Amino acid sequence: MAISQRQKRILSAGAGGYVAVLAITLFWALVIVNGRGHIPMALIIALTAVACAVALLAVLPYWRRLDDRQREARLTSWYWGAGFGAMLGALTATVIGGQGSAFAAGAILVVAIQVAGYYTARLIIWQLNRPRAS
Amino acid sequence: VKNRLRELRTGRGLSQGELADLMDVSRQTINAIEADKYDPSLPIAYRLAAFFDIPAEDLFFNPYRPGA
Repeated sequence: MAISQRQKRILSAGAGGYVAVLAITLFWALVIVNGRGHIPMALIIALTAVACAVALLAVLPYWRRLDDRQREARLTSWYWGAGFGAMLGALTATVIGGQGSAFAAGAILVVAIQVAGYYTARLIIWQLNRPRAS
Repeated sequence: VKNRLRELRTGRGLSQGELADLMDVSRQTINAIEADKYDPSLPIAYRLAAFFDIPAEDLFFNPYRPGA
């Protein structure tokens, strides 16, 4: 089946975003591994947040090329699929690692930050879409 | 929402892929709209209506209009 020009644009933007996110992640993993003990932890966390924001920006061209239905499909899949996966992951990590283990704590931290990110985004969207009183 | 998209598209001799390219949406989106599996956003509905040069409600039937 022939690939349309639109699909090619989406695929190229998706591949570009994927490579960019991978590069940012690998680079940042090296920075964290080598900088641990030399760089203050607060600075590492702050710069990690910046790196994550840059990674999201790298995926933006891909997102903008999708149509409404494609975005809706991804958002719904992310909400239900990833939400379920995150819960399952946190519970499994707790069962395998045991309560209070670093493994379980790490998994729960990821879910907690994900939930915090979700509500932060909801708050921003709510503020942006809030109609002025008339 | 029930609609006349398939009828209008085939009337113009267009495939789903060709219409999708013209509307800058995916072929699957056109297929889902025609099969009443997906309700398009207002901008896409208006773009389609403008393409076929008909009012949006002649393309997408308003189920809330009395007597519909």
